[in-house]
Amino acid sequence: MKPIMPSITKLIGLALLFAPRIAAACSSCFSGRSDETRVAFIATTAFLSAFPLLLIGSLVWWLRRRSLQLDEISRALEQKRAPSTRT
Amino acid sequence: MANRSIASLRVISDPRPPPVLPSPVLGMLIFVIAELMMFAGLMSAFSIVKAGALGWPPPGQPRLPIEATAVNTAMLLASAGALFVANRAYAQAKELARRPLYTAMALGAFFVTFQGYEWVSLIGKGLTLTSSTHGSFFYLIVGMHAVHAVAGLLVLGRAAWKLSRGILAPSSFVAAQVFWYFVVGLWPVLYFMVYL
Repeated sequence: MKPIMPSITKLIGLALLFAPRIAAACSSCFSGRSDETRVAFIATTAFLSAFPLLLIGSLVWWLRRRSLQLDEISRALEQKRAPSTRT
Repeated sequence: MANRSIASLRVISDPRPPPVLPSPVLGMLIFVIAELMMFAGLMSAFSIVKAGALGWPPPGQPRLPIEATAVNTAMLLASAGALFVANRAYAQAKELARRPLYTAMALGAFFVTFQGYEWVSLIGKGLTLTSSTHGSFFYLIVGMHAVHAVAGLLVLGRAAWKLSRGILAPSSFVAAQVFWYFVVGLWPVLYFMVYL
């Protein structure tokens, strides 16, 4: 017995070839009919792309800065301690 | 007994450097970043819908109480100020932090209660979750913030309870503050976007 599903899939594929439509996948290009909406789409896309990078980048930058500060403090403490241990 | 003394010696002579950031604070910061992304998504969707609308708020929908909410915003900002004072007092003597911490909680509770009152009056005027996209976004964004404000009050309440028992760790207090500052800092942005 032949499987039915592959032939149905092929038929649907062929049917789609005969019914072409614009693939409105890009919301910035097709959903926003007015200029204001298009600008809002583009602005929010840029914002949502940059915002997580900015947040995580800021956290990493701040942690690195704090780590360097702590290193400096511990180095200074060691330098202070060193002469007293010798004497 | 001997085991305990060996363990304490290990703690004293721990060669590891202190953490750059205590774990509760780092965990809270990561959580806040995730929550900020959620609000960023909501605000982006709102601004797109607002830009596509012919008029905002849509005709026939009630206007939002801008002035009353501005006063409520001031209350929330004042709660952040009180929390800042509590943090400074905590650094001097833990007992001194109690009163400003309670003040911060009371101001935060006032903010949430006032918002509840505002919601009841807006529902009475016909602005509901299903009345328009204006109503949907208003209740979704402001409601999501209110949920965070209630969670923030619970976090502060836990800190106050620990403080009264004398078991509040500095890192836990800082983590609670991070969350409350997030709740307070986000609100003016939401107010500007949704109300004005």
